[in-house]
Amino acid sequence: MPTLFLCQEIGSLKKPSWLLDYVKHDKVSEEDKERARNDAAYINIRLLEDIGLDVVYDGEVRRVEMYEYPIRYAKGFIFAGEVRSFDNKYYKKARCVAKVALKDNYHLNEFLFVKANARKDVKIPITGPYTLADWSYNEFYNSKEEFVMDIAREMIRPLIQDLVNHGARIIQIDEPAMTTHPSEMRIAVDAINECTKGIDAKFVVHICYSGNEYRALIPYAMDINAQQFALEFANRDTWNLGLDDDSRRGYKVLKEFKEYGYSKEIGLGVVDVHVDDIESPELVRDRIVYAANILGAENIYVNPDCGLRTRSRSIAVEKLRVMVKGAELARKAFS
Amino acid sequence: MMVKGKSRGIPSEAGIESYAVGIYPRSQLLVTATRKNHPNLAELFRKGKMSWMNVQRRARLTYIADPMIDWDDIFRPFARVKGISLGPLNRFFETNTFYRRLIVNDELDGYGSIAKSMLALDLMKGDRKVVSLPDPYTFTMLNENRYYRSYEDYIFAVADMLNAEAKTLAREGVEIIQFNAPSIAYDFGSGEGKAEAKDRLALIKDVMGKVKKGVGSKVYIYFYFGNIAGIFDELLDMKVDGLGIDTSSTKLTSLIDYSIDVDLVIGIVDAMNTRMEDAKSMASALDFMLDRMDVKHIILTTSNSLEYLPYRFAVKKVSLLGKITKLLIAKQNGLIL
Repeated sequence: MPTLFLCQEIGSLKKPSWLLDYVKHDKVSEEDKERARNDAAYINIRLLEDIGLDVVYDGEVRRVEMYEYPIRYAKGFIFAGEVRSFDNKYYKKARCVAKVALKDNYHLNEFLFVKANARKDVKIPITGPYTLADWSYNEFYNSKEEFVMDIAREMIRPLIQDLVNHGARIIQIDEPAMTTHPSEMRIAVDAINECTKGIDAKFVVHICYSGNEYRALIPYAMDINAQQFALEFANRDTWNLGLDDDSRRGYKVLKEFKEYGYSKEIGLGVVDVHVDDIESPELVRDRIVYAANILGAENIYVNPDCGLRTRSRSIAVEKLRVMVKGAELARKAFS
Repeated sequence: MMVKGKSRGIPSEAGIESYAVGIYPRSQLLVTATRKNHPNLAELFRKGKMSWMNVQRRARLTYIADPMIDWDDIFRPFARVKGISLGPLNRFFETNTFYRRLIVNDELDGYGSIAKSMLALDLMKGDRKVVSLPDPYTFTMLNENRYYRSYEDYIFAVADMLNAEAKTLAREGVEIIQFNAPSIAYDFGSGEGKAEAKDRLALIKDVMGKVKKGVGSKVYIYFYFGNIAGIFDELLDMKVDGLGIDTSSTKLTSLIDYSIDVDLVIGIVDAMNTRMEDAKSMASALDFMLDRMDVKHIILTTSNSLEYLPYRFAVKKVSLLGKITKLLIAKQNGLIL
């Protein structure tokens, strides 16, 4: 295993169309559906490993969506209906109408399957407490803080503890909403610390697409009980080769992390998950080298900006291949 | 502008009105139809608009608004203006809703009837009508200028465009045009940046004067997503017919010391949460406040557009707005205690 610039995914891949068709079918038994999901998970694990990733999962192939799926397994919530996120895209939102509790470890079976079948290190993504609260309507708790902290204590902490008891060693807490409200950063930080304190695992926090290029996060990053922040940068960067600030403008904010004394790992988003154009390995190399020059090569992990489920499977595979090649080139540059 | 101890309270029914503007949520039928790109989408949108207008009429709101369910976001229709192209997705303030940023590449031209073409005004022939549009500051801050040499040139060009749109709407019988100004509330609203805001607010006031010029309907500006208590005194001489506050951001108590000569739009129903307010308590609280405020004409509304709620909760909120208005009128006229 290479020691520098380990490659990882962030989470989701587009589900294979055959799986979607199969699980929708009324006449297929639940057992057969589960077998199909296992097949898809196995294919994804092998695919990611064969591409050359060092840390893998199953492409979240069993999950509906990062908010709706965990809420289905939580007490205290009722789905209220669909709300538009943009254009003709919608997501379900739930109302919190009673005290929150975990009904069931909703990730355990998928995790055990990945653990049994993966040859590389396994990183399990879970949705974080702040995001679950922020994307819900709070009709029960007196304050947002109470709501977030109860999700952290009563739902996410028991989930994490149980996963660790079953062998999870790397847990990625997805918190896309974390920097959406800069004035509530302290609540989000306390919530992550509440659900991870004293638990023996490596914690990665993934945040994306908010917070003024992470300027809301930077002052708090060292206070959060996480060894790594996996963040998006590529979508704000240019496609020019080079190590100058102008070419690498998407990554320039890392200098502000450094100025704040940031000394943890960064999961560096090096490919844009919202465009089909494929970055070149040399562009990926330059993005990695630029970041490594700021934060130290030993602190850089390499990943896409976010989950790749927005792209077709063929585009996603190409982007991951380029990412791995770019990391190889960066290793050469540092050898 | 400060308190003068004149008679307080609003003892006439005409002084308390209501409306709910902005983008409304789509019904489940429309959610499904838009997902599948239904061939009769235009007809379904029109039926959806009629249905929402009936919800407003049943709630006895004073003014009826097109629910804008066919607007992808508050800026998107303006992508048809000559000189504007469509840019990338951006988060809308601190919500989980996104809009496409518009890119201004050339001199703005070919506008005047864009908003009208996206509104079913023909379905509201017997109604008193209200329309909302983005204010020029929000428009310029959330979209991108690659053509105009200075910010002043850019915002005045946008003001010209909005002025032309507003004039057309006024000619079509729209009584109130509410310009939504979340960026003003968000950027200057904390009060901390008041000194910096002062210069920019002076410019915004000039710009709003241009937007209003020659428009034959009432022009309001509505502030939400930020507490404007700290800059309210600066806003009072804005050349508009009405100012609006979202009471979840700006407390009504913070306006108690002002003599407000223009109409006051009060965003009283929380459009960000499914929790239903109690109509009687809300009406009582408003009644209490109005007896202590110096304001002549109020319009009750929702805190912001209803698009952040699922359909059936938005229907309930519109009905709630009507109930609060009815109760408040009765209280202010001494019909109920």
